Amino acid sequence: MFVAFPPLLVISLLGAVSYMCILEGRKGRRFHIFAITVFLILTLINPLVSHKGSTVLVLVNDRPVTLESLVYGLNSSVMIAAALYWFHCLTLVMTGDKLIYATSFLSKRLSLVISMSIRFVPLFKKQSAKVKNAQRALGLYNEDSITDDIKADMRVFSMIVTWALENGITTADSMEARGFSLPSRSCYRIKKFDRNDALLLSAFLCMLAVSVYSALSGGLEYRFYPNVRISFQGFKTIIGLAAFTLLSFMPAVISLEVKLRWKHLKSLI
Amino acid sequence: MEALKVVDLSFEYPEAESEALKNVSFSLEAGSFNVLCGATGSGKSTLLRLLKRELAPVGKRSGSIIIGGKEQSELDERESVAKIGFVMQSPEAQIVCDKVWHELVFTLESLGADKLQISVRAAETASYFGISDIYDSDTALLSGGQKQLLNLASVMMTDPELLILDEPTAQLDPIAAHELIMTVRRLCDEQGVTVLMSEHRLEETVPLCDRLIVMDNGIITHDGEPGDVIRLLDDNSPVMPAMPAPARVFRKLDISTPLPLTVAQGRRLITGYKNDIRKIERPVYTHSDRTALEFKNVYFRYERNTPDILRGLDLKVYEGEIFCILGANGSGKSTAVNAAAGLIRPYSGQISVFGKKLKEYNNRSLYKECLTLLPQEVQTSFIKSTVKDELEVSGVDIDKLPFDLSQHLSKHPYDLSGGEQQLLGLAKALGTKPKLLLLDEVTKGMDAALKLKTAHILKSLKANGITCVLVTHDIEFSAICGDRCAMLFNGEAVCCMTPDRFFGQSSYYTTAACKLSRGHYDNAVTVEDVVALARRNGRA
Repeated sequence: MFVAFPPLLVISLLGAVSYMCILEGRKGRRFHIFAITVFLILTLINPLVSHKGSTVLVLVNDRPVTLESLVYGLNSSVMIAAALYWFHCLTLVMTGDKLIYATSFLSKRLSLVISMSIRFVPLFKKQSAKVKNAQRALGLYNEDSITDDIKADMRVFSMIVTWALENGITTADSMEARGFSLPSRSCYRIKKFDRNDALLLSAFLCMLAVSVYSALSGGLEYRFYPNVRISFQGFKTIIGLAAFTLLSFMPAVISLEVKLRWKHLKSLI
Repeated sequence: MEALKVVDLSFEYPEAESEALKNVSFSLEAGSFNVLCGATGSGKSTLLRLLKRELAPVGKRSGSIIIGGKEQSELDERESVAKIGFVMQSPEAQIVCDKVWHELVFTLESLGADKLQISVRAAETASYFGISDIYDSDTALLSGGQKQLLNLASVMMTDPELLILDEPTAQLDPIAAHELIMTVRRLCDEQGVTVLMSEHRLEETVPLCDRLIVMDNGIITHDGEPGDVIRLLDDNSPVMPAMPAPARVFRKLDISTPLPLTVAQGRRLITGYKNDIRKIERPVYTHSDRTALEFKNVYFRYERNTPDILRGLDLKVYEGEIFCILGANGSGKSTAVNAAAGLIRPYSGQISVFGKKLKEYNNRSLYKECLTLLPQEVQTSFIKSTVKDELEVSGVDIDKLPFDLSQHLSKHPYDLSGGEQQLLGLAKALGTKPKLLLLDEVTKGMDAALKLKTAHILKSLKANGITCVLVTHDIEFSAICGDRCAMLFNGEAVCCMTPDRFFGQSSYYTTAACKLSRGHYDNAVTVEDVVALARRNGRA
């Protein structure tokens, strides 16, 4: 994303979209609609506010709408859409336990704090719903007016905070009783970092390095103003694009392979 | 050998007027199952917490605690964590982590155990406690019973020699509670763990325990074999009503043989009476002919693709009665009252309150001097930081309450005991001046004495013309205070009759007094009924 070289962004977007389609299938329809809307709006806004560029397409209110700024808008939207799709994939893939696993290498305490927060958020939500219902049936939301409702909501919120603190004391007691403050805490992980993980990580780093090299050595030059120019400079550009293509499609390819293999294995059962 | 020895232990909280514990001395034999009972505020929790160094309250302490032959203060930190297990009351708040496996390994992580050690231990513990199928689940998705079982399992991961449980079943339904108690007994028998457990649910634990310790006002008043302790207890002791029904019956009948603790033992003794008179004459129950609450063919499910919770529920509650809705977990009891209170909307069928459909109560007029629901988790009804404010915000006149909360006015609602919280909730519910009061598990967390008091309160409310609908697991409670009982099963009401007929005809879902006298007496549902009949019959 730091290099807005248009072909690179298109590759990234395609990689993210295909990965998400494999992950979610038809369930992702709503996200696609959202992403396409964002994409179109962003593309159209830029030429309306930015009038730089040399090729005038039409005049709107005596102001030129240029091809260059349209292309620039298109490029930025591709970038933002790609980012949206990647982050969406991240939320799908990065479940709580993976996050805790990953952070446990940084700090044992941090991963515990994350584990506790992950548990706490839904608990807090559930409790607020319960308190609200309880108060409704006890006649706290008495008057049918919005200001009264807000007041009652505030009271409910303050009470849930108290409840959380109160619960926190018991939780702290429970941790203390089970030796949380002892020195030399260890960290148990149910997953193993095995050979495949190492292989994948090194392949990932390798391709990232090639892409970065290509960008730094000037293989990925482009400009939009005054006219659009994307320059291909032989080897430097080609290896950069190739490495980045592999990088972008790696998640999609791996998960597709896993899916197909599982289908095959299942057919053997 | 003694696993635990407490000598002359006294304890005083800072700024307290009197000592919470006064010269408490006792010792526990290794591998024994000991139950500690006493009214709320008798010092049970204080005593238990003092035994676990990490949880000991701050205050002035004297006397000694010797654990496994070593003075408590001389225990190594790691030893103290690993060798003394402590399970608390709240299933939810004790859990730290988001995944079951993570929760399970928490203590071993604290002790710095290595991966192999932890994985072996986790595997065998999960298998022993039957939680291997939820090993990868989120802790938030477990039921209360599963949570408490997980808490017990996590504590057992380090192989403790002394296991302390502070009212572990107070928040559980009877089936989950039974399972937990049986698991603890099994740990005792199979693993030789020494158990000290405080409990309100004595009906079940007393027959299983090796020793019963009774506390009152910071003093141990009785300590010994359960049968002997019950015989020596004072008639007015607050723990008396919680004791197993067979023991209470024959204690009242003054038999000279050891007191029976189980139904089977009691049934053997009841044959010693003539038993020609089988029935207690009771006036025929008449109810008003105006309905307070009516369900007509009500169907409800939580989500489109989940099964029905209520399947054509038909139920009629008449004005001025105490109506009990009984049933197992998931039978739709709570769902039914939530629907009656308009908190959830059935997809088919009709609910009317005082002859008016729920839909016709506009602008929340349903909750104004008409219907009030006290939810199962009573803490959710509190929104202020003192009992006094809590009562004020609900418009309660303290002098007009049928019970006394005046000694608690300055306390935070959360600092009350579970049973007192229920009373405060009830007071708040009365503040809206309801004509129809829906109570979901009102006896949760109450000790036996408070339950009796609550039964009286409900009867006095009834005398004032308030209709009460109780959703409860507590069979004994509904037997003493209900006018009619309905049993829900599979989202339907399978029967609906007066308690003496309802419990008289059931064999499993009935009171202990009923089980005890089945085949001999026809409609004895409470201990008092059995005693009265046995006395009238006389000994054979």
